Amino acid sequence: MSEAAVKAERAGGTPLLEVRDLRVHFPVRRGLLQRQVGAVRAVDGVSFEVRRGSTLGLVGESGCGKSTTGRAILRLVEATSGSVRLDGVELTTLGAGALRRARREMQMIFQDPYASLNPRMTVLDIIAEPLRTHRVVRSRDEAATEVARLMEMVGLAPAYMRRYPHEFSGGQRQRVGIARAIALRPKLVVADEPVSALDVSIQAQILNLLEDLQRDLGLTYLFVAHDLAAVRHLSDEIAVMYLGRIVERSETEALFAQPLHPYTQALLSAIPVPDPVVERQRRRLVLVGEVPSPLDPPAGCHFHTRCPYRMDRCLTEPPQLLERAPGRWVACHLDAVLRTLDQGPSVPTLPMVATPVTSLEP
Amino acid sequence: MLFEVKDLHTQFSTEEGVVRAVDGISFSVDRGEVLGIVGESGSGKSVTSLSILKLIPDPPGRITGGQILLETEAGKTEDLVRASEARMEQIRGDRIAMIFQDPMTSLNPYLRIGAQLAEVLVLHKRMRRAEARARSIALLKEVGIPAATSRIDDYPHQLSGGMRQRVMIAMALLCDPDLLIADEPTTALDVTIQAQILDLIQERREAQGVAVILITHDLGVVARMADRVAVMYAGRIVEEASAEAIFHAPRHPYTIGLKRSVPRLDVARGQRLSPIPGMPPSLARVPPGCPFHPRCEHVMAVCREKVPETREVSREASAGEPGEGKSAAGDAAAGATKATRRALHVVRCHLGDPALDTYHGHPTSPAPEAQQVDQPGGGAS
Repeated sequence: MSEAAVKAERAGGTPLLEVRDLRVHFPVRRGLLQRQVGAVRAVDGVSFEVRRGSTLGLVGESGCGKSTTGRAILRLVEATSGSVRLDGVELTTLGAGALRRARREMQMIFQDPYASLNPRMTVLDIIAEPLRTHRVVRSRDEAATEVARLMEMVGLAPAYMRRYPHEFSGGQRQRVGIARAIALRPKLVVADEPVSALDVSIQAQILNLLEDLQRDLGLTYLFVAHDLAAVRHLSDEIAVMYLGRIVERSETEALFAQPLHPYTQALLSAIPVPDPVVERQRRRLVLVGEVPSPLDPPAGCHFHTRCPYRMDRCLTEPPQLLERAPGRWVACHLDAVLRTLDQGPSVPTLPMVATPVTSLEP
Repeated sequence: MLFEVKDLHTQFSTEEGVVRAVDGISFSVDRGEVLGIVGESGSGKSVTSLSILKLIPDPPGRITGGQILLETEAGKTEDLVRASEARMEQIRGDRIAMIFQDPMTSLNPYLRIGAQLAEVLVLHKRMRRAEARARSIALLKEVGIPAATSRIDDYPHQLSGGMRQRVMIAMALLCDPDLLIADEPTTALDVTIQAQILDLIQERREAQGVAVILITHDLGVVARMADRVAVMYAGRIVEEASAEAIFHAPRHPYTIGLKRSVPRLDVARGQRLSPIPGMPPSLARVPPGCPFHPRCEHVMAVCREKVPETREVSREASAGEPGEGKSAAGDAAAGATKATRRALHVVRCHLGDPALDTYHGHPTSPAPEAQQVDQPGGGAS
């Protein structure tokens, strides 16, 4: 947790971001009259909060709804139902003017630094655009001064502010995107796969930069990514999504030490570790099959089609996300998961982090 | 030795001049072995795989030197660099098969997958249609496609990404190739599907003794799969050793830097990452001397002027243990040669081993901050 988060905690502050039962359904239309024949339930009842100055990692595989959740919070897509409160202000019902003002407080960093920067604008204009829109700067000189300051903050030489995005490498373009995102001193930054398009040696540079900016500016991050190692590095808390729902949410250390939901276990065990000796000793929980279509998700627990511990109840009754142990939220009917983890046949955790879970009786 | 590349050079003529995409690389891979080739964008790793199959578009590309030696069925060696296009067509898909990152580059969107699979067998094995179809269905089942008997009549777009990747693997394995080249085979896939695909490749290696060249940027995938690892940078192999040695006793500052810059799931949290400063060079503008010198924290005067030669890391210095011997039967001498080859650790760096040992003692020493401010390059990465 960053210092800012610690301070907020001591002050007994409310979370910066509160998401309640968020749903985003995309209608599917067919035929001449474009009648709605169904809906893709991209986000299907998601609740979480993010503490001030902390980072929540939102993870899951493609199609799980993690990116849509991030976009719905910023109202880049409209929520079908549910509530999103930023600093106590309900965002989902804001009118156009109020929303524009609220956008100062929340910004996004995109995955693809090639596609998210206008190729015909100079870096100066790209970074200055939000400053001008919100009338933070009033002249070209003022804009240039502020942009120079921002470029230095993200590790770019201000001398290059009149160049175009194509003159920069992928890592540098991502720095430009970050400079633009922090230009208005937002409270919340949603970072959607900010390093996955970058070379391995560049990813660490950007992760460190995000860390520094959080410390210096007291930023709150929603970090959306599929790379669990990067997410773990940056996040204080992690929420794991599967087919539009959160299946597990926990403080980072606890989640990796002892994943409780069978899907989290499988996900962690599927990630290869860069160490051949560790790899040879690992036991894996390999999932069969693929993620079902969000157009027609399985009834009951969405994960039941691939779950090795499936019971009759799972086929019909969707499990609630419940706090099963302090700070450990799990959506699973299986009480036994908690008890049998330490002796189970396919406990997939990494060798160094396996710990017994005797204290996790519900 | 099933397959050996010696001093291979591949160049491209571009507006910016001659690009040496592959600049004198050598490696080998034997039956049942997995060689991992690791590198970032612009390292030349994908040009390497295309060169092996002679799929480099000419012009602008050309293999300008070296040998690509494949052991023929008769036990002789054949140099593919000199082989005719007609001969290459016999070899591709039959003896050497390739899996790409994007299955749609090797699947025809207009043809049912059954037709595409059968075509390979008709062409290479002169099978009749019905026989080819039966064999195709059998293989689709082997690679884990449910309801293969009906899915075989699907078009590629009707399958999910993971399923398409399986179809491509099935296609690659149809003719029981001796060598499988997998170029970022799982990069586009989710981790749970990646695990299934890697298991599948592993299984074929164990069951049929297929040799695999696995090209990837993902150190985790390499650690999981490879017996030996070659690390590429700016068109050259800068270090090659057993997987154990690459991960536990790396000698090249680039390898060490790569390893340190990746966050790991199995070590304690809270440590700051140590990135390699700067960025990989554009192959059109490779720095003189050692191409890594502008990013290297141990740079010496000689590194700026002279390209380092490949040299062997002294045995005692290399803490890596040779991999477990494969079950291949052979006499003691052959076994010993194999063990020697497996333990071989080579590096292209001017820095002597003792200096690196000191370096190893301080794994958390920060990277030089002076170079943190990047200079714009021509969109190199």
